[in-house]
Amino acid sequence: MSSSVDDELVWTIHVMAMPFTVRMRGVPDRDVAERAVRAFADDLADADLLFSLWRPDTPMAQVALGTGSVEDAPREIREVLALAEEWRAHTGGAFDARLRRRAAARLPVEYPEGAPDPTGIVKTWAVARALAHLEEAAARSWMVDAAGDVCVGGEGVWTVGIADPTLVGDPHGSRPVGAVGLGHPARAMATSGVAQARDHVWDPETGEPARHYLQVTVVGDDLIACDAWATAIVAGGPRTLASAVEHGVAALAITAERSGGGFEAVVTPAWPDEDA
Amino acid sequence: MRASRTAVVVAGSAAILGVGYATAPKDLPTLDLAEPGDSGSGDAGSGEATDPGDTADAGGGGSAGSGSGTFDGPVVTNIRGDFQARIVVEGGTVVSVEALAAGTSAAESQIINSEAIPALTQRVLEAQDWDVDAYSGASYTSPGFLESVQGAFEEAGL
Repeated sequence: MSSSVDDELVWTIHVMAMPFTVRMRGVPDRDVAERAVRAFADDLADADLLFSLWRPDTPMAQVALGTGSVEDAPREIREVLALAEEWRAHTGGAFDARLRRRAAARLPVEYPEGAPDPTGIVKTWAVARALAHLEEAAARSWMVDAAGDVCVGGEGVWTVGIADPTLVGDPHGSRPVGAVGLGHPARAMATSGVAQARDHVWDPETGEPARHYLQVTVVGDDLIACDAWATAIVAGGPRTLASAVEHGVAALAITAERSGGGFEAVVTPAWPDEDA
Repeated sequence: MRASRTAVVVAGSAAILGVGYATAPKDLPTLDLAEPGDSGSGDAGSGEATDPGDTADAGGGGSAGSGSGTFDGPVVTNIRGDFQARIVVEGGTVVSVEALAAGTSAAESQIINSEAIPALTQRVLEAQDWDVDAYSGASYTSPGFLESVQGAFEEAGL
């Protein structure tokens, strides 16, 4: 079945206990597009079966428990742990993929504190890996919303709102506090914050929950990089934001809620001008 | 880290807020692609991540400790709203965790960051009726959801 050029197709995938939305414009063949999205979804589900810490029998859980070695783990585990280490080094230690006691206490499996926990980067890594399947659809333009981290491709611009940092739950239908057009070549936007899961990001320097900023959004051309920087800035606070400035990162950090409404924020020089 | 200021276009404000799933033409296909191990008892099917109105759903049953079944955690209410989780257990292993309800909006006081970095520009952000295709925000999980997950685990005898 074919669809007219102006049709927009939408799919919602529930995996990793999160909703992933795929939208396509200008799809030449709807059936081909559906198969592409199914392959994309299967890829995410496969990643979940490799990396979930919610059950003790995944390869990542085995490594975190110490019952399996990194060397013997599947290639994907080694790749993601190496990626996490790369970002730890790149962000001066702010991106720290180790399991903290309070995070471990929320999991149904008991892991030793300090066990490797790349959860913070697995989602965007998995999306980046699975995107190749979406290309099969040959859409004129597409967008993937991975529960708050967004990337786009093809022609045109997708407008992505910055969610209210005090909002909990799915922000769809809410009033955003800003908006950025994603297209050429800035195609990715990731946000990390404290409202959705209180104290889930730790300051690696103090070992305490990170409360430097309410929320940090990063725009760029690489979804994983945006995600890693956003998480790192939330964790490391001003010192990591200063490092992000030096690296030319386009970041917006929401620093405080105003008593009269609205929010205080700071942006790096690379942040796109909102008054354009 | 390689973002380009010039390439990013910003949408105008004052458009009618009509976002996400609501903007999709009604006859479009919506796949509900659960992970392979899913028992099929979940309530996937809507485009919404959560549905607070669904909290009374009794789930697919399953006796405590039997090792298989669908278990709904208690509705956990805190200042940020109602949270409820559902887990699907097969052979004593959790194969699916989903949110039946995940909170509502609420204000929260925050610590003001006083450290200044000269290169930064100050902004004041106001919630507006931007017409957006998607939202970038923190991933949709919460302590309330996780607390409800724990309740579901207890009900499952895990």
